[in-house]
Amino acid sequence: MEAENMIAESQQVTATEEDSQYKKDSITVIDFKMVTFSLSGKDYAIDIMNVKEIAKAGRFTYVPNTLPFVLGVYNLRGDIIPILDLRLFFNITVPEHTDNKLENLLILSVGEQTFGVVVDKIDKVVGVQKSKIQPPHPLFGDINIKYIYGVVEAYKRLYILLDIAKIFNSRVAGEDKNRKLVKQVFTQDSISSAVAQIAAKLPEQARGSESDAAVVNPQAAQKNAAAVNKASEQELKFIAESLKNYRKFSVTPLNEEWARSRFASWKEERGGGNTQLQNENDADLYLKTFWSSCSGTWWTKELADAVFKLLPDNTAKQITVWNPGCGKGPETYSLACIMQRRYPGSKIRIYAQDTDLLSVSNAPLLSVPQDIAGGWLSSYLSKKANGEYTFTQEIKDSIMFEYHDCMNTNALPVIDLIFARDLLSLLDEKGQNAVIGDFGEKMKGNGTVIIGENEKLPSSVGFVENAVGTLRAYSKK
Amino acid sequence: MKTKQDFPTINERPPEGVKTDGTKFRVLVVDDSMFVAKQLGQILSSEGYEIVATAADGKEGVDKYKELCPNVDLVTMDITMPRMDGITALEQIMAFDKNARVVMVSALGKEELVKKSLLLGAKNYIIKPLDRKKVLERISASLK
Amino acid sequence: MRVEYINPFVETSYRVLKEVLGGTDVKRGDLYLKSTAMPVMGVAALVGLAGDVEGRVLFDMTMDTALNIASRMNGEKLPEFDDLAKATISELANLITAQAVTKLHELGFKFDLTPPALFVGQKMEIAALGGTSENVEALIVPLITEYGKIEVNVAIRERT
Repeated sequence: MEAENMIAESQQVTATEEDSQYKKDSITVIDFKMVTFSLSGKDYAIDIMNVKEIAKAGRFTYVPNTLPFVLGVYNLRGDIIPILDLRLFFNITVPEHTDNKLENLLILSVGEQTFGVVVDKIDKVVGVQKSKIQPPHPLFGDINIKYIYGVVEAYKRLYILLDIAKIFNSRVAGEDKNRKLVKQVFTQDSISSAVAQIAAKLPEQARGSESDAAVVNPQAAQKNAAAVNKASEQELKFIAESLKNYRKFSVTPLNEEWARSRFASWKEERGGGNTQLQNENDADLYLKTFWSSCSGTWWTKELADAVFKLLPDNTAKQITVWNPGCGKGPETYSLACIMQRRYPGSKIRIYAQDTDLLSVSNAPLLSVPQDIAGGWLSSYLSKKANGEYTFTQEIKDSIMFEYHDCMNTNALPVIDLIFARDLLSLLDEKGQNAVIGDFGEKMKGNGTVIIGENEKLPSSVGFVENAVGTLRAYSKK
Repeated sequence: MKTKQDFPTINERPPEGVKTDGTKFRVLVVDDSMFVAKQLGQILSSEGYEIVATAADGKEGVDKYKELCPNVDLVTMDITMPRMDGITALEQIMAFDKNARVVMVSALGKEELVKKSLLLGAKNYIIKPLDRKKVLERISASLK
Repeated sequence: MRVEYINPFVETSYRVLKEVLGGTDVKRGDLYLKSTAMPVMGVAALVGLAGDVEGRVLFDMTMDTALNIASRMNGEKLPEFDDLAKATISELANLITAQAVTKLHELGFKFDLTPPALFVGQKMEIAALGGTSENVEALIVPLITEYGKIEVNVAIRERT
């Protein structure tokens, strides 16, 4: 984003264009406020949640044997708090100051600790959109990058947002957990990919300006096309990486078709230079079109009927089902009810597994919310003493919830039906292949596998597709 | 003037392991764990009981009982043991001597096992880990 | 592993360990699944499970921890890992597993257990169920005490 701006400036983008850009920005949502100040002429900012108050103070009580940036302690209305000089902490030039001049103090609190920080000048409170906060680029700060939470542009100024928790890490009891999570993505490893991202954008921008001028040379056009493809591939690759980082979603031949078509629609939605996924929100938006209908939740009557129609005839006395990635269980229970309806004479045994211990442990006791209980599930429910709806004992007995990682050895009997919607994409490539291998091994000759609507088993595996509506079912060749 | 010596103290009650005629109750301990045998031994000896023998599995337990009878007043019997388990051993001992006093001592507290042992003739059932007070109470009750 | 089995094992391991160690502080670590050949920390007590399921419970600890715990349970400091110490650790395994089995019985699951077996050695690995090369998946319950850490390692398979 910043590189874009730099280049835009150098290309002397017209003032009106800049203004309209600015106007577009000002309609954005403000969900993050920060207090801005300056250190040695540069603009910095701190999350307002960490700022307790602002004060001006004169003499501090010097404390001996401390590091040079600890100016001393100060009596803030009864509380004795340590005062630090951020300029000294970051080793940047400190303007000469006389003893009597009042210093600008920002009183911060991190966890239980309160302390004061001396800065050159305190500016104002600025509100921004949290998603607009960019990861720090090594070029943008002359202070240690680990103390920088991010950079953000607001009202035509660039602010370096400091991570106060990191700065006072050794003294502070606990870090701000949320920050840590986001920080995980913007670690040193992915700074290099962030750099690569920006580097990738540079030729794109250059290309953009070229295509503004009429393209006369067909050779140049071809080169452009190749550059476009390469740049697109790069973009898609970065998107795939972000999906993996944020949502553990792996793009492999299984879902590549969907990932590509989504990329096209995503590009349209977001506009040319803004395709990269900045945070979990973006990842979720991208994945929005992936999830199968009623994935991970109670089935609608339509889906239930569709599955009912899809199930093949089976007169066996016992029918075994494998449902890996069952999560909290609503899909499993919906399936159990349909199975009972479809195969009334057989004993149904569903092995429902997940690695989320908390969710799967509560699954045997799952109750159905009032509004769902009135729907097609009602004939399979019974009312408890406290008014809650749970499934009949027969349905409950047909399901065995297990805390199990499907990538480990699966100790299952031969299976009639595998129901694994939207699960495979959440495994890494190796895991996907292992589980697909298990599908082949464990399934009976006349068995069926149902996976996510946007997932596709590679043809090399030996399964034949029998899609019904949006449901993806496969059987053995 | 009455002094402390004149008042009987709780600590002066006779040890439970000693009969009214002065002889000690003789106990056969059957358990595959050396640790449990030691623990039980310690608890019982401290109350005056005499451990006449220990056996490491059901078969040995039955044999020892047959050998020592009638010089055994009580048998403590573990359930999970190799070769012959405690329930089977209990059966055999009761068949040999219908007046045998056997107390089951086990970590397994399954209701069906408890019922089964009591039906077969066991006098009591103690669940491990061993609590000194409880053990002594139950053993003492079984000897009445 | 069926979710209904998890709590009995977690609860009884914690409770029994706390009791036999004289009420000392026992901290429960996070549960997790492991599926590799199990390298053993030095001392391992193994109790077999049978009945509605097949499997085993493995109690894994270092030699130091084993000595500390055995000493505590006997009320005297044991200088070396002799027969008494071995019997003590075996008994600990037996106590925990038996109580878990009792609890499961009350919940309607019919399990039985075998007498414990004790393994002592360096660089040991406990192989998979049935001795096949397949890696078996086990639930690990780490328990941390002042005497050291014990890992309760449960591998259960439904009898199909």
